[in-house]
Amino acid sequence: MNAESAARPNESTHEEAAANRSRFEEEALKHLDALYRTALRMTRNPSDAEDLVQDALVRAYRFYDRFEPGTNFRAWLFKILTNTYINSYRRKQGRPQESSLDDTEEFFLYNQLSEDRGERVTDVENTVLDQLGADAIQRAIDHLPAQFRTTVQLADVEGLSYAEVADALGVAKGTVMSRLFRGRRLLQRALWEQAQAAGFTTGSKVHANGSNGVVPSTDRAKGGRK
Amino acid sequence: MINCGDCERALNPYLDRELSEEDLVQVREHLDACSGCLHRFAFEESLRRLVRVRCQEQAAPDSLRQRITVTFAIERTRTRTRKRSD
Repeated sequence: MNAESAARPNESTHEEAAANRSRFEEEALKHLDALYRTALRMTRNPSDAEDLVQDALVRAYRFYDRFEPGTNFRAWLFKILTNTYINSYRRKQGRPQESSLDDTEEFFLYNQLSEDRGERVTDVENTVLDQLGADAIQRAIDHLPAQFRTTVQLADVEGLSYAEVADALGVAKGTVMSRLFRGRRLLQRALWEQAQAAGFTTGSKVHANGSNGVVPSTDRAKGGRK
Repeated sequence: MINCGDCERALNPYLDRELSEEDLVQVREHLDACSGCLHRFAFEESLRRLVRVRCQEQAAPDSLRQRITVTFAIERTRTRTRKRSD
């Protein structure tokens, strides 16, 4: 019926299989951080993200013989992660509530910051953006609608090429490009909102020591840490 | 030579290193001549770097790493057991 009916492998292929498995384990663990980060962006919940990575790696382990040597292992892992998420988590999570981000023009942040400063900015250094920590930037990505979120994460954080993202998500390369185009614009808006929520308001002079000195106006500070 | 509009459209593939050699030459030529586009490209590139570097700080928790190691050990045993009972 199933595997039993297949020809029984001889001893040397057993050894080969064992070597393959240990190679798989070693390689897979190298990508654990990237898989976890991506799972966290997908589920937006640490415990679901851990479960998702675990489930995906079990599947990858069992399907490793279907991996074509010479092709991109990392992209293959991301593909399994994506499929696992779609099959078992997205349904469970239901429709996630998504914040509404206004679409913005190209170069939104560049324009905002250049306007505030009265001269062109060429670097995020010494701008309010530079004060955003990893948490705030991840929150900004988490505010993107799901399809943009994963695409932006894979391309901009994990550094996958268009072709690799397309393969991982099972979409066309053109789709990846248009999602990135739109997603990155939305991300600029989301980053700006994070900077404002943190009280790094526009117009206030940013001090080099990393604090923005003056306490922002009360309505801006609402909900902030006091 | 390409104009600013063409150059802006090439921003994403340029920063993503997905431009053809031919287009890359054109974009570089424009950037050499146009400080407006050069500034915008430099800013976008630094923003891209900020997002990547800060987000890559996040590692998987040790507990997950341990859990996966155990999972692999269990899978290994399961594979062996299956083989033996063949």
